[in-house]
Amino acid sequence: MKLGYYPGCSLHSTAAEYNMATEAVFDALDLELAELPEWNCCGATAGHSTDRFLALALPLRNLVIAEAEQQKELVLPCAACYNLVKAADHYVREGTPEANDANEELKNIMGSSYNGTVHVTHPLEVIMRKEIVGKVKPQVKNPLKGLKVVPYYGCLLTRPTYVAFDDVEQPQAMDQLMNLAGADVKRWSYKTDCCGGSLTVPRTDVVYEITKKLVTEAQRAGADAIVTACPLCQMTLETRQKEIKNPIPVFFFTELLGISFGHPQAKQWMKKHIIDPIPLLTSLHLL
Amino acid sequence: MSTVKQPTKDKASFCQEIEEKSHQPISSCYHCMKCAGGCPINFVMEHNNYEILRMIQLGEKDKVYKSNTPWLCVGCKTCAVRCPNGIDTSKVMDTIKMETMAEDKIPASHYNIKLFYELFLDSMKGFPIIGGEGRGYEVGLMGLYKFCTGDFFADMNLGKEMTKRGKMPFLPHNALKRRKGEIKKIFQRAKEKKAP
Repeated sequence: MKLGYYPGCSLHSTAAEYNMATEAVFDALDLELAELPEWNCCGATAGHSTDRFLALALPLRNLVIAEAEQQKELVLPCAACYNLVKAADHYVREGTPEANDANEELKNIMGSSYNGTVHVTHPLEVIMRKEIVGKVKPQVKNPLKGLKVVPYYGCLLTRPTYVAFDDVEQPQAMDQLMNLAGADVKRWSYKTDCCGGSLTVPRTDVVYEITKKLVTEAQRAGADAIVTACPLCQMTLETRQKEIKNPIPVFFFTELLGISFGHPQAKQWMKKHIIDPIPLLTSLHLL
Repeated sequence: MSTVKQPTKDKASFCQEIEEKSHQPISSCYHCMKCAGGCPINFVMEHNNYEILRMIQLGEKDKVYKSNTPWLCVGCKTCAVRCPNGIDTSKVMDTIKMETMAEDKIPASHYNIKLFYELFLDSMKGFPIIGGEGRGYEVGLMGLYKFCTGDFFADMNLGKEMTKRGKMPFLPHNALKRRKGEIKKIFQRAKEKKAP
């Protein structure tokens, strides 16, 4: 199956390992990813905080290209990009005046507008589809035995309701996948709390506090690592554990799937982490 | 005799204006505080989110504009999924941010947050010679941010570690070829739409 792919800026820089692992896992599950040509940044928090028009026009431009490329589905591994592009798609389908205006402007600039025909999705949703999740178990050649993790969904993957593909308060997709991969999934109450990522540069002090709370709670739940599906959560949690005595690594869910599949490149992904996960993985004979 | 505060007529128009711009039914908030209960940032906010909604209902524009709450809101939408009246408080906060920017009334203590957002978007327009239209460019963004704030030493070590791992490309991606100029045009239209 061929799917449109929008990696987003982070996966070409700060979350390069997420890009590699996602492509590897999709390949193992017979899913082909075709990168959207000439895609642009979704505008992120900076866009929706400061300009109503940019908040819609920037994500919509990518959907115009996806339609021009005749892509039926667009996969966005970054939760923030996914959220904004999905919201823009939602507003066009609803026909709100602001979305119609942004669409009309894009028609003048790009020669065509977005007609609401693309299914905007996240790798987690794709892998959890019945026909695909069934292929996961047979691929698990290196079960993540003894790896204690807490799944961390953060904010933008499950909220608001019009972007959610899982329960907004108690999502389960990553819990189930990690179980399939053989990990020891711990329960905790912070799986949908926000990491405060957009303040990580201008208000680092606030983000240190949030990270301290999240990592302390993960450790209290008995976890040796956190697993996430968002490059901003991963970067924030890995780089802001200043006040934590024994910092723990933060994995992308596709990385752990890849390791459980015994992917030969997995060690290369691990080398890109700021908190080195290799000692933990080798102590469990997983790498 | 009731001691509950009621807004005067002209103050009610502030509420109406923010309701229209944010598309949120602010006047239906009855302060159940579920939004504040779930807010992950309220430990540093001057006012809880429902308090901001009440201040808007009462037309207390100056107080709302001076509060640090809208600038610290990260838009995590916890409030939005928990509100029994369907109010997405984060959209109200975005609207307040935009209004304070339009009226040039940003509290000095939050200037860096606004600066970061503006530079983030600016860096998407691309740079002279090296280009980079349409994509985020961490090195350029952080360079500009440090230059504007004068805080050159924060995260220096982290930047070094990122670069070592190939996570911070020195030059921006020049991905726009056939569609070059489209992002600049989108930004141009955004500027024209904001002009009075």
